[in-house]
Amino acid sequence: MLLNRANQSGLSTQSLMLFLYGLYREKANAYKETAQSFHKKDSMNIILKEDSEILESQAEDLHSNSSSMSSRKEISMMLVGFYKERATTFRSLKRQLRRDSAAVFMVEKHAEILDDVSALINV
Amino acid sequence: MTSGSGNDLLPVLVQTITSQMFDEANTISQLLHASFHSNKATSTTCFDFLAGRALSELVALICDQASKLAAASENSSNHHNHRHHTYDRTGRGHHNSDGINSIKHLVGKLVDIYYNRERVLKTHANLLLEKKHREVGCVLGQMAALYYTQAREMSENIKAILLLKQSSSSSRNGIDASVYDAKTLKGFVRYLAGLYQFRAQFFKRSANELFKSENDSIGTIMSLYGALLVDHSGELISLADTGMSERLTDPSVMQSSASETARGISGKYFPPMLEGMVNSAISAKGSKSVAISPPLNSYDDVEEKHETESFSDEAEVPQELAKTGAQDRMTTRVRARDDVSNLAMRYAGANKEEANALHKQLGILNSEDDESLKNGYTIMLKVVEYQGMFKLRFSFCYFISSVFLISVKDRCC
Repeated sequence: MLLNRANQSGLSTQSLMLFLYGLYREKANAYKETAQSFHKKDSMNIILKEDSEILESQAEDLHSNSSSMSSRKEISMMLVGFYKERATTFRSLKRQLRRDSAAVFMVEKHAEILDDVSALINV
Repeated sequence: MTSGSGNDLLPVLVQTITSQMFDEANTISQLLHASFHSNKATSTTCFDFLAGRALSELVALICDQASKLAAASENSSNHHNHRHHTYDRTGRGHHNSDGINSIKHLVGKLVDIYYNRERVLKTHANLLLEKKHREVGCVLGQMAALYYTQAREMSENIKAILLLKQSSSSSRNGIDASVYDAKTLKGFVRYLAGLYQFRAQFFKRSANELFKSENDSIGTIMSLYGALLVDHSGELISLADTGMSERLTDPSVMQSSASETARGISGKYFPPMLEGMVNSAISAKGSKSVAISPPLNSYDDVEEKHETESFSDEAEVPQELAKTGAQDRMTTRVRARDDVSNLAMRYAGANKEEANALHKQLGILNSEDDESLKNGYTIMLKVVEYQGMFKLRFSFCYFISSVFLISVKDRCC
């Protein structure tokens, strides 16, 4: 019975997407809580807050699409988009952080890392 | 630590239960894998394939149930915090009807979960009894009956609590029966812990029965499964007492060094006692095994083994299968069903790459420049590492259950 159910790829991919949704939410919450431990004007507060917001909205997208996506390619494309979106967000943070050269350096590098990771997922 | 009181406690409880369910699935699948391979290596006893199939299906079911509970939990969390977006960025609407906003909803979910487990276990118990695997069949049948009883009991119990609540609250101000307070919820958490403990005792008794009838492999799994449930029960009691869940991730917990974090996560999601036993069973099998509970830094090795060996599992298929040509069919189907496992593995790899790159950047960053930047990025790095490992476990869990389901189906059906 379950074997037949499990063989339907839709069910498995849905589970995977819900699992990823949980992880994205968890990451967003962890970043949000960590951001609160820094001063409001601290660069790290800005970075973490921004990243947690984008992760939260991506988690919502994962959830809303969990029942409609059935192929691994579709999921991968979605995740690639997510990584690229985060990379763009990090680059856009440079303006806000311009007074903190170390933070600018880190967000630039982080954006590059996210681009590299998106290339790894995109097969 | 994640804390909760009153209405905040419910999401914490649901997240804890979800995490425990993933823990259960991981533990059973890894024990199955270890048991399967250690028996093949020593050839002293014949691994019970039918029982293995039953437990594999249970693993797959628990994974699905945990994923769905996680989704429902997040829905309710959004609802409580009033942070829920009605529409996402693409303009699609969300339906929040499946969230868990009260004890009643949670109990409804748990009752469904238990009934579904009962159905799966009962089917397999009957199959085992038909094939004259009396001892294991009886144990699975009793497990099914236990789930059924606990589901019914929980359902009845919550009805009584809510009726009581309704009568007291409606007499005051007509509050809906689904409204609950921290005291009621804590009482329910303790009750749930009691159910876990009862189940653990049953598993231990069953294990003894199985050892007596020389079903050592399944007996060991049942015994360790029981030990895991005792741990889970303890966590729930602690949650009821303190309102805090040690299990759930908190950045402040992650402030320790990377190695401590690795050990902490390992301990959190897979008790060290089980880990030791599984690892020793695996090492008995030799170099062909897939690594169990890999340390965070050894992802590359694990991926390599998985990529190169998972689909070349032909060597591990019983020889009779090879003779009948069923092996090819099995391999094809394992490939087909293993897509999700591979995908999760790839994502885990991506996390690992991200963590490696972040680690490198952190090394470049001069700590004198900005201490808070370094601290913040260290936490980000640990979250990424932890999630990568969790994805790896998910992928491993799916992989193992698929190998069992397919190979056993070919052999027995």
